[in-house]
Amino acid sequence: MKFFLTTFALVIVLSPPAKSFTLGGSSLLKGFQQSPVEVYLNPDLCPASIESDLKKAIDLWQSVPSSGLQLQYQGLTATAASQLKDFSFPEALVVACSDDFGNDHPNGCDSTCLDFVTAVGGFIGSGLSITKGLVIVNVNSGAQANMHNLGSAQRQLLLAHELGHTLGLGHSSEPSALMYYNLGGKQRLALHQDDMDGISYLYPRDEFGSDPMLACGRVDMSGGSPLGGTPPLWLFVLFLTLWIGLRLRFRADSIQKLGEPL
Amino acid sequence: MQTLLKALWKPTLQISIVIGFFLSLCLSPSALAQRQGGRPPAAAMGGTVSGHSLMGGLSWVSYNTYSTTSSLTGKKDLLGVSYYPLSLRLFIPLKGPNWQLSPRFSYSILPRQMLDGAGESRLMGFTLPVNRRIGGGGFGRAADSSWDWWTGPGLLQERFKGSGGAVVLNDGAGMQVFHRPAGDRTAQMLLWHLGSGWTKGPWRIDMELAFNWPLSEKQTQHLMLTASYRLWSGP
Ligand SMILES: [Zn+2]
Repeated sequence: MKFFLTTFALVIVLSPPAKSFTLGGSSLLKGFQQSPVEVYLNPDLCPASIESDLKKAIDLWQSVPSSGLQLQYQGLTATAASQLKDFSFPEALVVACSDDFGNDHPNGCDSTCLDFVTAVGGFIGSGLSITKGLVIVNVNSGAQANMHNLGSAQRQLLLAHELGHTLGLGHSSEPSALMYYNLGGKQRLALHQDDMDGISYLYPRDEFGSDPMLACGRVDMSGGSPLGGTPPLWLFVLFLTLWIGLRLRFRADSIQKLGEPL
Repeated sequence: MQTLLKALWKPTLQISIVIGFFLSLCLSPSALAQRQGGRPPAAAMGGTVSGHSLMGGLSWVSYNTYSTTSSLTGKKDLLGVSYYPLSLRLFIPLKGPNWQLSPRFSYSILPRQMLDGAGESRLMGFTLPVNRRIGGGGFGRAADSSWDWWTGPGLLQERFKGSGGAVVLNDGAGMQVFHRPAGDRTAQMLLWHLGSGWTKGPWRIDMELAFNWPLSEKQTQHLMLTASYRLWSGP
């Protein structure tokens, strides 16, 4: 008991406090109401790997277990970056590249900005919900922040960060979070607990309400299993072990029963 | 300490601990003797042989184990977010001294705080397990101790409460105002629990694992350790 209590106390003392995420709109923002949120891509002018980079960024947000967010890649669109900033496009969420980023950026982007800002993500909403979102990528020739200058991991991190904005997240005060303003130093596409808290706040998983079992049994056309997620392998191992353990036990039991009359 | 914890929780080790634990329970001499001898046990899961009992406990929950990623390397953290819920668990005799039903309600009175007081979150859970006693209570062991393993469905809620306000953060090009969350949001999950408990006198220790139903699209795993004390026992 002493050992247990000591361990318990140590665990409490050593747990680091969580830092906090922010929201892109109002403090009561609720994110997209439509589910799944359908993502379209216009690959014109973009780096060749943009589609696979985007899919990885989508999977990252989609994977947060405590969130009910359904983010789905729907394919290509002809909607161009120049048509995005007034949000009059028909799709829910569009990702496009712009070689005139200064004009296509919803807030404008001057020459200094062109050298520092590689992409912008944003949304418009009605009430507390998001209705449309965009990600515009800077591919201005000569601009230092041109996406073509980035490595593959950085492109994925950047797209995931901007998708985070589009889904309703603001910047985080946690330097290790994906939603921290600066992605420098990050080498792998990953979410911090703070990012997961943020997306879970905006899109809480609710197996009794809007997303029972998170659409279990839904056939995923993007190549996933028809049952949806795969339970972790070690769970199967656990059950197998239990089963074998019980079998062995009952066998030992029946042998003993035969051998020793009670 | 952190390094030690991380090393301890390497997946392979995690698997072997769980396997070894359950194997030792299934094959323990007392478990075998128990089935063979059919002697009435001196203690059952709630600390009493045949009556009801109510236990109060304190848990450490590692919520979302092996799901959180540490930012810079992208590697998965083996432990999730920590919560410390208090629980009440009622043990109800089902069939003979070896089977019990043990509904449990837990709630973290102490919330998980976010930095700068931006918000907090709490866990609330209800579990409805069936316990099977597998050993202890005589057979060369302390007369008042007992092992059992249990399994059953559960509902787990994680409640966020934002405290609102705004904060000025770097936006790359300059400083900008960002909003802190202000609303209450609740995530609800249906889980399946698998656990094992050891009772000695009025004390009980439980180790358990909860995961989503097999058909759920997103899998989560939660690890829990609970120490509890018998508050009441009755007929
Ligand atoms: Zn940003």
